[in-house]
Amino acid sequence: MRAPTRSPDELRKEISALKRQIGKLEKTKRACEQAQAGWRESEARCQTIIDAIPDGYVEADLAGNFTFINNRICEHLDYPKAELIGANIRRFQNAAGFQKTFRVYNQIFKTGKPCKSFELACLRKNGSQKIFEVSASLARDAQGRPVGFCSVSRDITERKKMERALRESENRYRMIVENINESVSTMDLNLNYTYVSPSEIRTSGYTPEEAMRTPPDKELTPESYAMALGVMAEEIKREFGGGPVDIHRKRSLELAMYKKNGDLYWQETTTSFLRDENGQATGFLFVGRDITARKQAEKDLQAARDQLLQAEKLSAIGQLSAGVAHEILNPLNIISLELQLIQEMKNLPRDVSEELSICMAQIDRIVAIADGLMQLARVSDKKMETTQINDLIAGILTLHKAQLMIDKIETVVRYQDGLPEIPMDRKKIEQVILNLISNARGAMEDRESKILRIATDREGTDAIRITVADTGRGIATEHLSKLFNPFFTTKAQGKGTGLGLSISYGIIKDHGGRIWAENNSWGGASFYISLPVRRTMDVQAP
Amino acid sequence: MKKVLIIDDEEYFCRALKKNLELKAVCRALAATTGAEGIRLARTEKPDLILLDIMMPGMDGTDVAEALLADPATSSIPIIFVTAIINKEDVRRNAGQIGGRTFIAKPVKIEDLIKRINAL
Repeated sequence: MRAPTRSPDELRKEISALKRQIGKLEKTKRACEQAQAGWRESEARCQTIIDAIPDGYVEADLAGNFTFINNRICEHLDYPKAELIGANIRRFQNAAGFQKTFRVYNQIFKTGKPCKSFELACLRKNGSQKIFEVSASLARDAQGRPVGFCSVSRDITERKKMERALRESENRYRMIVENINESVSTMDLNLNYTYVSPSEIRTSGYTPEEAMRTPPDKELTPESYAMALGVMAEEIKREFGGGPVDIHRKRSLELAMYKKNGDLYWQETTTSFLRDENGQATGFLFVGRDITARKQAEKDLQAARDQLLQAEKLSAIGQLSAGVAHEILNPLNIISLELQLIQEMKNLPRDVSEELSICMAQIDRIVAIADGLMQLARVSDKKMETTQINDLIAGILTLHKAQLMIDKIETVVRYQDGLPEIPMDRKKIEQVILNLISNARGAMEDRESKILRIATDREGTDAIRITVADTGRGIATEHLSKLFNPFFTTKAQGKGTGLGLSISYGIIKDHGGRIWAENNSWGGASFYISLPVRRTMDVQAP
Repeated sequence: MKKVLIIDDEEYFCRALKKNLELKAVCRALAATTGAEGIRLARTEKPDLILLDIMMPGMDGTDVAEALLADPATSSIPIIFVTAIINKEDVRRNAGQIGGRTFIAKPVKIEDLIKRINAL
């Protein structure tokens, strides 16, 4: 069968239609070629970008085999790309790490939701570990079926290391601050507490929270508070005054503070400025150390020094005085005998006889002074007997009750029960207590309220204390240190030799005890005697 | 009449005491102003009592007492130490007896001394 013949017109039309079609096809081909070039360019750009980003990029199939990685992954794991493609993630993790990875990716697969940030630990070729922060999502094909996972990972090994170091360092400092005996606190520049260490409870009894709520003027004695405020004001002025400052400077203060239970204690506080990274002061740092024991030891040492000095002084004066007394007594003896001779003379006029009696009385006075002087040097000649101090005081008061009543003095006595008997020279201790009572009587002579308070107390386990307090005028501060010096007296001329207290001092010292005086709240003076309980070595059989 | 020997380096004391004792006519009094002179007088005069000072230059009272006690001729003579080195209060409290010795403190009260002499 022959094909239908077409007319030349028909053929011409067909040819031009074919030509148009060829033109279209060529256009399409050119467009395709252009698109292909563009796609290649785009793919190359993508690859460049993927390789350029600081993060790692991995595509894996659903079994965890790497199907695509960027160069950063090669750097991170220290393997060439060829070795990584096709490798399973399990190869770069330990068992625990892989278990975690599996859980995360399984979750992504099941839910279809990406996981924004999780940590993943991988082992490098050399065995060292790297930690990555990873974001992962499910990859799907054109039909939306899951075909694998895409993950972006960031190396956070250094950051983790720093975080751990920081945490350790913080823990270490916290441990130090919380366990040291020093209390550490910080304040802002408005003097509000910003931190108080737990060790505070050991020094003051306050919990950190309580301490932060307690205003500083309640924690410090008024004197210490004023001193601390003064120092801080001075430092703030120096810091912000514009002049050159030493940013490492510190100030040390000895502060008297109150514990939660109201007891007083001493703290040595070192203060410096807290500073930000630019060295700008942002607050105060205080490091406080309890120095109560040191303060007490210093006080005791000073008291011991004073006592030693006093003892040495007394000893020297005592010896000198005894010598002087002896030298005075000899000529006085002669004068006395001569006066006694004159007194015996017949027919003495009455007024001469009277004058002679006055002279004899004055000789007695000189003898009393000389006796006192000689006692100063001879206090160690004592006769020890174990004595109940309460009985001794009761005995003295019985003998002197009448005199105290005549003087209109009310006597208030408080005996501590169960005091141990202690060895003492009864006569000498009696002499000391009598001397104190006699001084108290004298001090209250012109006072309206005349109350003599005598008390005995236990002083720890090693000593007993006797207190003799009056409601007289008290002792002038400048006299307190001289009270026990020989010849020191505030009594009127002829009313006291100024030897009573120094003899008492010598006697008490010789018993291994202490005697001291303070002004009391009744306006008068309180004298205290502390006698040791155990001195059995010295006790002689009565 | 009893015989009393005073040994004291203070010449005026010896004189005043002697006069006082003689004025009251209780005894005859002798005096020596050194220890050696006192020992010599004790041996020759055989007094009934010796009043002896302690602090004397050269031979002091305790030396003299030892010498007197060591000598059978004088060992039985009672001695009273008359001194200013012993506290009057101590003497009073111990009734004049300290360490086996008898004391009178200066200044001497004649009445006290006379009581002692009469008690011999």
